[in-house]
Amino acid sequence: MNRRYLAFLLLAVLSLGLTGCLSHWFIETESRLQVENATEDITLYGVDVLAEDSVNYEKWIDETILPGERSHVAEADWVGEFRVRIRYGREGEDTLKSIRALDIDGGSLFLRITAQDDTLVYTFK
Amino acid sequence: MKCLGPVLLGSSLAFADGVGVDALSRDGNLTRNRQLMEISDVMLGGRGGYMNLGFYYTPSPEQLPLKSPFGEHEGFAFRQHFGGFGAGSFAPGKYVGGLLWLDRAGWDGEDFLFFPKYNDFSVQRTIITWGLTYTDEKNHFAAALGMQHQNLEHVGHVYEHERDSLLGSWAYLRYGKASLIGNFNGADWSSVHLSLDLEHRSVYEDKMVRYEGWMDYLPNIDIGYYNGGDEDNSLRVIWNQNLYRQNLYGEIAYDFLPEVEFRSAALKYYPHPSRMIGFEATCLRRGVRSGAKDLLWGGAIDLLFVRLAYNAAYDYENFFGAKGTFLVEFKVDLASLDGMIFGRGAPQASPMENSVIKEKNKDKAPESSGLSLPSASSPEPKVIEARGIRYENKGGK
Repeated sequence: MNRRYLAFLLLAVLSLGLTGCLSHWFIETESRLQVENATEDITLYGVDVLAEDSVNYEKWIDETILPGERSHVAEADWVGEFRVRIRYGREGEDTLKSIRALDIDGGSLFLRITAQDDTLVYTFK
Repeated sequence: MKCLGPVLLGSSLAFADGVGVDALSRDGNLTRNRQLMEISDVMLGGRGGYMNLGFYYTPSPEQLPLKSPFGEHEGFAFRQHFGGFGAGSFAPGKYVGGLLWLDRAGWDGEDFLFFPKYNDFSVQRTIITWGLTYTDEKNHFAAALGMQHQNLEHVGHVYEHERDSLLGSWAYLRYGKASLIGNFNGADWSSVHLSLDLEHRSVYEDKMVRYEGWMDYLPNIDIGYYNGGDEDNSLRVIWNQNLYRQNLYGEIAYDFLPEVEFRSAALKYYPHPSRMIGFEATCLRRGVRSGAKDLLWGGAIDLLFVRLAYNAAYDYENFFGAKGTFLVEFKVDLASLDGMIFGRGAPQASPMENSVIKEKNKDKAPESSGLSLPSASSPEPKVIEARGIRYENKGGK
């Protein structure tokens, strides 16, 4: 095997590599979400992404998060602008829903939820 | 003023409209039809060769986001396309050939060349059209027959349910300048086109010298009748008209069924009638709003190996309704016939030096073409051959 052949092979691999499929090395194409419930007495029942019709939804975090606890990290293909719904409530009371339009850039997201009276406060870290 | 350019470009990226789930679902049928229309163009000659290769380049994930019921997903719409045709003669004036068209298109969360990410919201669809052709040049007759296959690599769960299909088939028949092409799916028909390409195309008549006359100004008409399935069938007529010396064309598409409505119009300028380079301004009725607000104005520049477009009708129809963003497409699209090269559907070949020489020598020696070797029967022509320049050293150093 001569050197010219090797150089050609290297060039071929390089040119294949540079054809635009490299951008996912620096663009996040999925989101890894972990939610911390930093409220004192509110339980989070789950995080969903809500459809336009406000009826259909996709579950993102499907677990109950007690006050002071953190959820598992849930990986999903949500990158873009979506309406996120958090179902929450106090023990023995009605389930409330907090719906926010969020711009999600992808990558690791840590969402800390605190409460001000009965509304949730979202802090991304 | 200096910063206006980047601002405009930036805003065009930021305000790019997403591609819809419906448009991605509909694309299989649209691609099947478009491939057959391209094949119909190539079969106007029915001999020689043709090659088309290309893909859209959309570097930003915000350029063509997916609009699903859940919101706007960042990602990449893509289309990779290939078309190839070649025919050889088996008897004087009679040609058989084969053709293969392939489109891989859809939307994915990552940009890629071969391997997509296949996420929950992506769709990858391949449409393959192949066939065998027969052309009888003397009797102005051509026929072709083949099949169409659809392969769905992956369908995300926001899309309409679709399946792979091997059952598409098509047939083409041309006599003179009238051609008929039918597209079938299983036992059901999908579309029928009657095309009258009346314009004089000197490239198919073995004439390298430019013909100019009234026959150049005859129109090319395509009448397409589409099976609407559960909805009404539709009828679309496209009138393509040479306006000035085969450099400037006007094209208008009108729907006659289910309702009589304007569809699109285009003004196309080719610096040379071989159509290797082209400029077009287009206007398309989108059918989503009423009145003049519904019209989408755009244009495209085709520079042989790259095509730049903004809101062009072609991209709106064939790239999932992409609009509001600059599109770059890398591509080649060349047909060849008897040593001449031209773009698909072009009326004349691109000027090349050897064809000019051929034409000059035609009058002098009609029995032999200019490039053949001198035979024993004819006296050997005087040949002056220069292999290089030798500098004589005349004294001095």
